[in-house]
Amino acid sequence: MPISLIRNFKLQYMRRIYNYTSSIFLVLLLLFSGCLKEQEDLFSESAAVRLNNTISGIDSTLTNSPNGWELQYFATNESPGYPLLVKFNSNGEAVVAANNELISNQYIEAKSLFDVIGDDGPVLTFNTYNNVLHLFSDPVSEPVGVGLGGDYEFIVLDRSDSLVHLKGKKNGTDITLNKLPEGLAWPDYFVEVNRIDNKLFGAEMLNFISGNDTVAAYNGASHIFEMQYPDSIDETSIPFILTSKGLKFYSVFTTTTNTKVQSFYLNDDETKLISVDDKNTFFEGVSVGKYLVNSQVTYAFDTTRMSDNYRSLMRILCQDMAERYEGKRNIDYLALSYESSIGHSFFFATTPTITRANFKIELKVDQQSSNRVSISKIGGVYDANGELFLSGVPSIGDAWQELEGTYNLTSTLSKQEIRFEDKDNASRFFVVIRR
Amino acid sequence: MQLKGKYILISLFILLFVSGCKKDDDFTSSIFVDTEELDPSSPTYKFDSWLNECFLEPYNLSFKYRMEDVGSDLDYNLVPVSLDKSKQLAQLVKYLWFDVYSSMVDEEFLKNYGPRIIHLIGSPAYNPTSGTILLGTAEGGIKITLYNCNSLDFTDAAMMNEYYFKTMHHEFAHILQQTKSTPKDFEQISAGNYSPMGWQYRTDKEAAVLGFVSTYASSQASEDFVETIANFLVKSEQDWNAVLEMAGDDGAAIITKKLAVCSKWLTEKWGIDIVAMRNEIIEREQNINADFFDKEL
Repeated sequence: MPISLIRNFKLQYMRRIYNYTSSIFLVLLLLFSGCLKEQEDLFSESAAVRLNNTISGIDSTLTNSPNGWELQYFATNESPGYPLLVKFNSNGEAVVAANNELISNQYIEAKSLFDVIGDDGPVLTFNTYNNVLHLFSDPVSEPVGVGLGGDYEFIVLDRSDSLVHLKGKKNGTDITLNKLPEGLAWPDYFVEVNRIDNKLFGAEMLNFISGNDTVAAYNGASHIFEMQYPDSIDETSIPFILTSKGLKFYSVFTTTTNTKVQSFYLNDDETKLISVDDKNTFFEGVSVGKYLVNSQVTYAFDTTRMSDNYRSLMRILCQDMAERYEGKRNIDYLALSYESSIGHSFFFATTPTITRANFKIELKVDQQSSNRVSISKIGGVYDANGELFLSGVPSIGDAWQELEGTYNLTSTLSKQEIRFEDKDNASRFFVVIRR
Repeated sequence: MQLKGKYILISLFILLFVSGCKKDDDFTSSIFVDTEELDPSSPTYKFDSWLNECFLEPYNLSFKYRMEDVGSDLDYNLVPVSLDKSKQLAQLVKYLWFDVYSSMVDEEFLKNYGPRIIHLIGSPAYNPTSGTILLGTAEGGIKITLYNCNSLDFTDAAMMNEYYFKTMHHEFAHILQQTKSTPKDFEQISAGNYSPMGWQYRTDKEAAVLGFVSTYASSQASEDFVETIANFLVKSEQDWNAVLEMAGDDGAAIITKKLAVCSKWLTEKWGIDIVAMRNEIIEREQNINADFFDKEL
């Protein structure tokens, strides 16, 4: 074979080898081009599968509470809290109940739909209008365009069988769901909340005591405390929610003694709200004796809760008034009151002809106890109506006289009710209720 | 041998390139049909089935009454529509809008040009800075959003027309407007009198005197065009004449001229007789009362 042919053959052979080699290399390159070193999976399932599983788990948690949940709702972090009760049904329907001023202080249940969706993480949404829940976010309310500024979509932060933490999707408000015990009737829950509310809050301030420090807590009835520190004109606002178990601040609060508190329970005799975190931090009412002496509030006698000595004299007074004025000036109610011209008074109002009469008494706080007062009849001092009635119905003077004495006082935090008990004779007592 | 090697290599390449490409699924007739199966235990099963039957299957339209925050304008504070109002509005939309077009034009018309999504919102969308509220929006010919649906009162025809049906016709006219070009001479009729930023400060009468059927029509020419159509469709002859009377001679002449341009455009481009359609809508509105609604939904 000539050299040129051999060279040509080699050249062709080498070119073929080259073609095959490069082709195989290309195939290998294509085969392995996508195969970088595999990272070890941190999770056994994909993000989408995990989100779906989470959604399904949340749905099960919510629907598995037979009597539903207590939703501790705050529209914003500056708004008062509202307890709502929610039952999530497995068919996608939610029942929400409330009893608050937004629905004319009536117990109302409203149905709508709910869903747990994969949005900003797992989100609980009430996606058709609910006449109770959406009142907090409806822009039709004042201020128009914003309303109360609340959420109806909530990011689910974490959950257990009895507690779910939520965060408002738009406003970021912290909200919790607490599992309700079985057997609790929903309307009864709100009856209890209202009872506690009336017990705790009136126009009067409470003392917020932490260790040796005392701070004045005003405006509790609005469910936003205005804390007034001694020697300071600044106030701190603390929104809170009142539930059947007590009171909870919107967020953890650090007291002047550097104690962190948030939840408070009502003690057995319902005279204090004590922090669950620190028993030395609590709310209590101001001294009832000092309060009464300084107040200008009218307290009506509860004639069903008084000893016979008072009841019989007041009954005679009522009968005499009815007879003397032939049914035109019957006693509407009897009270301890305050009239600017004469000060504290024994008082009554008549009906159907409306008249008011005042007979002066003096209230003094006892030197030994600020929860004890003495009542003295100041004879001969009354207003014009008092003078007129007293001349026609002498039994008024007997009832007025009977009030004299020194009494130990007990009251609720709100001073809604005050019980007067003779300090020397416990069988002499009466109860008055703020009007 | 050489050939065989080449074939093997070529086959290998083809195999590699094609191995990742599965056969595509067949396209379905609706973009929404692969949504979840309806749950017979759901309290909305009948309603959802009805929506599928009346909107999804014939018109490929998803009627969304469950609030989708991500599908709404997050700049506004909004709340969902109630289930009861959703059911009423869905039946009204079908009867006073879809059935009208399907009987007056043809069934294919809304299949081709109708929106693909109708989204109901319970509250109005308030613009706090301008003091105005949004009644509806149309997005790219695909989606129509209706606001303030919780205020629906079927006994108040004027309110229904103002808040919902005028809005529907308005937004749908936008879709038609975005699909086929509108006459340029329309824009010249009131050129110089549009006020994009100050229309809300005009009274109805001031707008009418300038030749606009509503204050919003005086914001810009494209809105003027669809407002003329929508207002004519939902106003009785008496109400339309009241607008013309309020406009005075000059204003009425302008409005009438605009209506003529719109009417011609609808006839020539879409085969729609606006007068006949208006009569049909008004006749149907007479049938709306408590008995009209299917209480079983």
